[in-house]
Amino acid sequence: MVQQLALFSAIEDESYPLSVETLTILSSNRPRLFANFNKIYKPNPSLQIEKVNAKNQLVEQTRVKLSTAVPLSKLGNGAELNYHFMEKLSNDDIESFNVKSYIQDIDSNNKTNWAFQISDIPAAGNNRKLSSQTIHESVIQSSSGSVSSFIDELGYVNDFQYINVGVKFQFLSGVVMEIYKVWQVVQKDQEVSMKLITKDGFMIKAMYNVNKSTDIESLNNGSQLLLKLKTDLRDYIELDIPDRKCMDTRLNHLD
Amino acid sequence: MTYYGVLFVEKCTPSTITQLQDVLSTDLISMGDKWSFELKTFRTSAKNTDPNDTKVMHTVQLSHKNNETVTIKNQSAIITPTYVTKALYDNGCVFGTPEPFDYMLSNKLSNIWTQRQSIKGEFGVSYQTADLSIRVNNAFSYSGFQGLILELESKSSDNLEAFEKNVERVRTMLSGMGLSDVRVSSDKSQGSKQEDSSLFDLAAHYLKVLG
Repeated sequence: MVQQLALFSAIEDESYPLSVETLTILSSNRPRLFANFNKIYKPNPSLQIEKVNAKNQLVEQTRVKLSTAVPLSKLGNGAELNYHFMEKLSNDDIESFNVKSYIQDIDSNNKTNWAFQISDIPAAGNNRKLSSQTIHESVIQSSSGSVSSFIDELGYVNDFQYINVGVKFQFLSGVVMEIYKVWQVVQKDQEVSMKLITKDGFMIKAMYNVNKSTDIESLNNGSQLLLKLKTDLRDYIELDIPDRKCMDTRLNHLD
Repeated sequence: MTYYGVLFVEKCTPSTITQLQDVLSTDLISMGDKWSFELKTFRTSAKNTDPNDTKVMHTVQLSHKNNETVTIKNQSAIITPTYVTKALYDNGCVFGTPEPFDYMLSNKLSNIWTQRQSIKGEFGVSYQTADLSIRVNNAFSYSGFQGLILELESKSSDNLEAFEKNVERVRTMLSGMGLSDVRVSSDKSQGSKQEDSSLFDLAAHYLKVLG
């Protein structure tokens, strides 16, 4: 379980090089290129699932997120990549990346490591300055049979999937910042296509993770670090608290 | 290749474990670490599942296998370790300490899965003989003592035939103690080359004799 404090923002494509430069100086760390493939599952709609468990406690139906690291060698088709790679990514396709063969490989590979996450809705409150969300996580190291068939046995079905590619800055203080783009991955029959959702710009996420939600000292420390970062970047990157409804993983929260 | 077998002796008492040690003592090379295991059974609370399909899911944890959790339903199984792999952490797929999967089931997935049973053994003893690594433990459920569990592990240099003979020898030894009501599940094939598959197989053996 992790308690995640976070602030979000967005920048336009043109601002990317300068943002990377700024954050490199601020974090005193080099940007690290990353790419993740994420599968979102929802409870199988054909199952009759009660709203309460055996102890009569209310348990909402939430989505489950499986994510895995896409090797950069796959992303760049063997080429050595750095943060400049992001500057060329403004289309629905990533030219060097064969998404179809990647997904085929990953579905047939039982040794792929997957993160299994279930997120609670972020804490409520009018005076909140940052998002505070509990995330429950497990690591799937390997599977006997495919991971998909296990998730199916668990009672979940695929809802949607996406790839995010970006750069990550690790601050010495423990703060992590990410600048990334998101592509929805659509599988139709045998064809796989990608659709860039973050057109003409990048998402920015600044976060601080605390292992125990009872560790008030670390939570306070993280809050202060993030709010200081917000002040430092003011008028340049406007870090803000997201609408908690957007971070809600419950199934019928929009009803 | 290492082979595994799990034996479960039902009609015995919690003190059988000490009698067993006396019998084993002539073969004993050394005593090993204490160990523990836990097998949990979860049952789906969804009403309209396929009547031909099993409604149960199991988790197995073994302390001598780094407490990795093996979760099994039908032919599908996953291994969830207690640590985060580097690539996942570096890429921000995982943020902190991972939770055992049985905790995920009984906490976040409790509207679909309800824990029904737990069989566990703690402070078990392990022995090294010339032929085998033998782990012995008393198995308890909520209702009390269930029986004696023995996990047999071959030497990595042994072949399947040699291992099967050694399993048979342990059974004979148990019969000699008047323990003939034994459930056995052991590796039957040469197995695949995957290193993890042995933990899947071992967990399946526990499930077969205890489930």
